[in-house]
Order: sequence, then C-alpha cells, then structure tokens
Amino acid sequence: MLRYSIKRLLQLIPVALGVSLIVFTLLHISPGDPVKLMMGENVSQEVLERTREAMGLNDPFVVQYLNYIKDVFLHFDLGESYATKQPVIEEILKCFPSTLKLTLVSMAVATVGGILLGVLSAVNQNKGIDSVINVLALLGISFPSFWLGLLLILLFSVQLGWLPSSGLEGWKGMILPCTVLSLQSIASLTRMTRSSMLDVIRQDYVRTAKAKGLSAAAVIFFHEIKNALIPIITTIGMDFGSLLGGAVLCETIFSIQGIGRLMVDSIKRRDYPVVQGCVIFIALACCLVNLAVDLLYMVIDPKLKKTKTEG
Amino acid sequence: MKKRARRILTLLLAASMVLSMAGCQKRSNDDTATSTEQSAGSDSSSSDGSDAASTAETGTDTITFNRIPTPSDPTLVKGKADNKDLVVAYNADTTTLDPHCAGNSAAVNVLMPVMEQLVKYDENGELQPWLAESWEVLDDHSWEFHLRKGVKFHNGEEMKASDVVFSFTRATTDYAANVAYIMDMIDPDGLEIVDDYTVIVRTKVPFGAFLYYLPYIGASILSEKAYTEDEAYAIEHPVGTGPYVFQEYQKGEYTKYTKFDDYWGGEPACDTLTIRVIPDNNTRYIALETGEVDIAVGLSVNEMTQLENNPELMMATCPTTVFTTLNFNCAKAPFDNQTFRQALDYAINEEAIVQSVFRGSAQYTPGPVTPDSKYFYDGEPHCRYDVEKAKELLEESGVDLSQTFEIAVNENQTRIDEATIIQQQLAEVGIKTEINVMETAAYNEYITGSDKDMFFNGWGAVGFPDPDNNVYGPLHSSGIPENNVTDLSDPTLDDMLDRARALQDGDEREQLLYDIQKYIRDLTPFVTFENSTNIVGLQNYVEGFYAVPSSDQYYNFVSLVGQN
Repeated sequence: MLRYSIKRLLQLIPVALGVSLIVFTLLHISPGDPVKLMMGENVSQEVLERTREAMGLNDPFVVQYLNYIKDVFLHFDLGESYATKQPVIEEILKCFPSTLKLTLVSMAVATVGGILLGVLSAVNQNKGIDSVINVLALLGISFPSFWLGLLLILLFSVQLGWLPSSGLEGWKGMILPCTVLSLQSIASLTRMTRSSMLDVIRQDYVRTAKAKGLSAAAVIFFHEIKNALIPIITTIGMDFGSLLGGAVLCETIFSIQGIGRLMVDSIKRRDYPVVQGCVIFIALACCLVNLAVDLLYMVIDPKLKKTKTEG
Repeated sequence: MKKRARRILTLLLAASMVLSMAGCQKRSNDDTATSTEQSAGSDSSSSDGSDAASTAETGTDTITFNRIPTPSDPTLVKGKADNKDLVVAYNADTTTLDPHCAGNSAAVNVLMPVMEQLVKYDENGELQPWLAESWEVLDDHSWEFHLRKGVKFHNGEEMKASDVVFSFTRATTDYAANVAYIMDMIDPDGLEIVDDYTVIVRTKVPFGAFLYYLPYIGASILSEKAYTEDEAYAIEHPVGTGPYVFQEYQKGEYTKYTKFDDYWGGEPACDTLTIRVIPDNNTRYIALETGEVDIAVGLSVNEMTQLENNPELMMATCPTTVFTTLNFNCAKAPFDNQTFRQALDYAINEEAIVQSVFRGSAQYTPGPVTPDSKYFYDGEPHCRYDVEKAKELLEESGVDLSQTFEIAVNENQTRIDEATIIQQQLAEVGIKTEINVMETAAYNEYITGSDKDMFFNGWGAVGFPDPDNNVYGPLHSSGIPENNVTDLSDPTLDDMLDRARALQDGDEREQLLYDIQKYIRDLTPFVTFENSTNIVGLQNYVEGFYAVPSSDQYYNFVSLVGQN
C-alpha cells in the first residue's frame, strides 16, 4: 500500500505539468492585457510598455512558460500576483481555509444526509417515503444554487432575521452557505446510495443474513451499507473535487473570500500567476482526494487491495 | 432560425420601448422630501438652427440628484444600539494598501479614511484647503503650499514639508506606475522645501488644472518616517494623517479601522470603521436591509425603488463623471468620413435610449464633459435625432451602405441593450449592423486594435469635476491607441487641448473649453450616451454623509444617531 501511494504521488508531477501547460497556454492565447487591466484608464504608453517589460510579458511564450516551470518545480515558487504584488501561494493560503471549511462541512452534511436518505429510500422501495425522497432529490439536483441561496437569504435573513446574510463567521454564518453548497451533493448521493443499495439488497448473502435471523438494522448496517459503499465513496470523492472548485457561486452570494472567488476575480483581471496557481492547487487537491478515495477502497474491500498492490 | 426570431422580437420590443419613451417625455420624478440639487439638465433651445425642431420631440428629462440623504420620516429614526461602529459595504476588494499602487476604486475606498491630501473637494465639488492651509501660484507650473501646523501622523510624527517631498517623490517612481497618469506630471527634481511648513511643487510642463487633480489618492501625504524605517511593513499597514487608523485587512472580507484620537480636525465621530466587501448587488442591499451594514455603496437601479419604499433606509445619489460612448474608428473607412459620422449621430436617438435603458437612474450627457462638471457647455441642441437629416448626410457622404458594420460591446447588460436599440435605429436609415458581445478583458484589448468599426467605451472614473480628464485622455492624439481608442488625430483639437491644459483657471480657459466641446460635437468621433449615477443606500440614522462623483465614497465625517 505504501509503494502504491508513492507511485500515485509521483504521478502528481506529470499531472501538475500537464495542467500548468494547458492553463498557461489558454491564458496566453486568450485576448486581454493584464497590464492595461491593472493600471486602469489614462496610463501613458511608455508606462505601460515599461511595466510590460518589467513583468516579462514581452518575452516569447516558450521562455515565459519555461521560466514559470523553473520557478514552480525548482523553487516551489508560484510567482507573484500582478494585482496585489503578493506571493501567489500566500494569496491561495489566505483563501483556502474558507473554501476548505465550507467544503468539508458541506461534504460531511452531504455524506450523512445523502446516505441516510438513500438508505431510507432503498429500504422503503416503491413506498410513499421513497417517492417523496426521490422527488426531493430531483428538486435538489435541479435547483440552481444562486437562486436557492437568494431565496434562503430572503427567508432566514430578511424575513425571519435568524441568520446573517453574508460571511462565514460562527456556526450561524455557516448554516446557509453549507446548506446551499451541500444540497446538490445530498441529492446526488441520495440517488447513488439508493441505487447501490437496491443492487445489494437483492444479493444472495443478504438473503442468507436475513435467513439466519439477523435483525433488519443489523442487515442494513453490517451487510448492505458496507457492500454498497464503493460507488458511494466514488461519488463523494468526485463531489469533493467539484465542491472545491465549484464553490464560486456560493462564495459570491454569501461574500466569502474563497479560492473560487479568487480564481474568478483573477481571470477577470488576467492575473496569470494567480489563476495558474489556483488551478494547479485545485488539481493537486483533487488528485490527493482521489488517492485517499482509492486507499479507502482498499480498506473497505480487501479484494481491491490485492489487485492494486500486485498490479 | 429560432435565435433569429428571438433577436427580431427583442428588436421590436426595444423599438417599441423607445417609441413609448418618446411619447411620454416628461416623466415625473419621485418626490424626495429633501434638499435636492438639480442637475444641470437643459432645455434644448431651438435657437440654433434648422435641425433643432426635430430634437424638440425628444425633450429633456432632468433627473433629481440627492447628494445629502435625509430620512423620509424623522420619527422613524431609531438609531443603532451599538452606535459608534460604522460598517460600510463596498462592491469590490482592494488589491493594495499602498496609496501609490491604488489603481482602482476599491483601493481608494479603503485608503481614504487613512490618507489625506493637500486639498480636498467639499460636498459642492468646490476645492478646499486641507493639509495645505493656503497656496500661491508662482508661475504656470509652480505652486507654493503652506502646510497646516500641528497635523499628526498615526505614528505620532508631525507632518512637515519633508513628508510632502518624500510622498511626491515616491509617487513619481516606477513603483508607483498605477498612479503615474496624474503623478507623472510632477517634476521630482522641482520639489523644494522652503521651510518646515512651506513646500514648492512643480509640474514638468505648464498644467493649469493641476490643483484639481491633487485630491487624488496618489497625491496622499505619507509619513516619511514610517515608509523609510520599515517600508515593507508600512505597505501593508498604511500610515497617514486621516481620522481613522488602519487596523486589519482580511482579504476579500473586510478592512478595519479605529478612530485617531489626535486627529487634527477633532475627534472622529465613530469609534471604529469597518469596510466590508460584498460583491453581489443583491446581497449588499440585503445586508443593508437586515442592518448588518450602515451604508451600502454601488447599488443599481434595481434597488432604487426598494430603497425609496423602505422608511428605515435612505438613498443618496450623485452623478459620476463617467460617460459612455459609441466610438467610431476615425482612422478606418468609412468612419474616417466626418459627414458619415455626423449622419450616425443624427440617426441615433441617444437621449431616448438612455431613458429607456436606465429608467431614470442615469442622465444623458451630450458630450464628454458631463452635465455636472465644471464648464459643461449647455448651448447646443443636445440630442440631434433627425432621420431625414441623417439620410441627407448619408447621401452626401457617399458611403456604400451595402456592407454590414460591427457594433462591439463588452458583457455589460445596459450597453448590450443600448446596442440593440442603436442597431434598430441605424436600420431605419439603411445602415446594417451586427452586434458583437465580448468578454471584458478581451474587449479592452480589442478596442485598442485597429480593426474595429463602432464600439462602446466608458471614460472618466476619477470623479473630479474639472473637465480636463474627460476631454484630454480619450481624444488627444498622444493617447492613441491605449487611451484615445477612436484613433482620432486632429491637430486643431490637439492644439486646443494642450492650450486648455496649460491655462490657469479663468475666463479664457472657460471659453476655450466651451469651444472644445462644440468642436468635438462637430467632429463626432463618438456619440455620447449616459452619465452614470452613484447610488448609495444608508440606514436612516446615518448623519454627515454626502455622495461624491467617484465610485469610492468618503466616510470620514459620518456619525450615527444614538438610540432615542
């Protein structure tokens, strides 16, 4: 398992290289002049030109890319933001805690809520409660988060005055953003859990467990859920990545300074180093989460451990 | 096909909107029971000649601005329980805390409580002595400032002439490129300390409007000691003479200040000031409605009605100095043809377009000098919409109308709406156009290129009432292609602009600026649309606030009424 982990960690290097090349190329071929955006109106020609030269923006594309790669891989330096002149890594680390907090809490809510609802729905297949949960899950997947966020703010902040309308301070401030962010994941997890559970429920070993007289709860917890977990964990892992990068809307509505907002703001400003830094950071985070998921598979399913470590 | 049908529907809708606007010109303004300042909106006089008659149908619709907000019902003013902490919500985060890097409004907004300049604009847009008590004009490029005595920086040092020289020298280095467009005019070698409280500032070339540019963030007076002893620290912890001392900046969240007890102007009214970042308009308004913030800056026409209907809130409005134009590429055929450009002006009903798109939240400006700026020329017919005249001029210009021209626009909904109506109006005189919507950063680069036809642009964000910035930057040929995006190169205009810049303020400069405005209208390098408005929402217990033309606002002397 250790060898496998090291192998997977080494694979991060080509991933980071590939991602950086794609982002770098896309940014540089997309129109827009970072210097002009940085300086605003009424800047003289010479000042613009001087600044472009000083920032190395007049170098050929390949030189710029190689310089960047050299800094990133040899000095672990993601560069400096054009807009704030701060090191990119600092900018990212300032924003990361909010996003991480938002993502982790939402993920926890989504996991617990999604699995509970999914199991409930599967156990009561084709009954009233199953239909209600199915409809709710469909609504949850279909609701656009910015719309839901605004409605929740109107109800809980403006009408009832219970919760703050913006920010992420204290447990009260986390309720609305996390609800909005986790809703889609709850919905998708509910559906995944339900279908995965339904597969398992029809298996022979479940029938055997029931036949040997285990209580319904024991069957659900020790035989059904455990075996239904693999696709659920896959979904969680994938959702985690999309939550991490996809918190943009939620962060904008609730005025939370997270990585999503940092990235969007930087794209608008053509702040190349920050955009590149954020994308690489998120890509690596996603890879790490996927690695964690793969390792979890092995813990849950010893069969996989055998094939992975051998192969 | 479906898309096409939708576009046609949109056009019909837009056209009907314009027609209905023409039908009911004199819309009543909402009553605001306050001391209001009337904008310098005008009556289009018909004394000017033949084409004026047709413009009469567009009429004029003056917007009432309300710079100083007052509660609609004073008996409803309850006050704030914890009433010494002022909280402001702004729409963008700053990128810097160094006034010499402050190239955007968000940066100015968070630095103004900390930093002060030699002179300052009051609520009427008049220049007032501030850190300088008085000044003398020595010659057309030298000013002698007499500094106020006993002004303390936040680090306890007294402000002296050496701080002014230090600040202005630092502002003219390459490091300060973001403020160079104004500060570059100062000659760093011409700065001279006469004594501790007297300093001479020289510009590189004669520059009459210099003083009017000085209430600028880049011209802030910094503590020399703080910025030389530990510059890296000072860049993130600004030290000025303002009424609020910088405490803490949390990226994307807020900037916090405490009051400066030794402030030369007396003790500030609030104990603390917090400027929060809330980018979404809706959320910002809601934060105001729920009482989380006391002042919400940068609201839009969508929040105006809500503000007016809520007795616990007040609204302050002030015209900016920003004007929007549909620019013509004066260096490319057929737009290099002045008669053709004038025909376009006659074919477009700019004023009606502004009214239907902005629903009373912005006024029409007939030229680059906006109606509330100094030396606004109010004489000519403002909107010269005349389809027949346009057709005549088109014929005279001899331009081949079989081709399709492009109207380029960035992702700005109001501009896209304007472009849609323009497209319809140009079609009426037989000019075919297509609208090309682009992402903003890409658009900004596109308009500095040479392969453009007609395209939108905005100018004048600085917010100073002197007209120099609005005519010189976008039209002087030295600004091609970065600032002068119309690529207009007219030696007569260049000469007039240079002379206006060099002249000291007075009758001669006033007359010259009127001539410049008339001349520009005749050249028609662009047609002008709206002069946008700053809309600020406030709790009714906020006192001492007045809205200013720049999008960054000023909270230094705001106080909060206590509980009754």
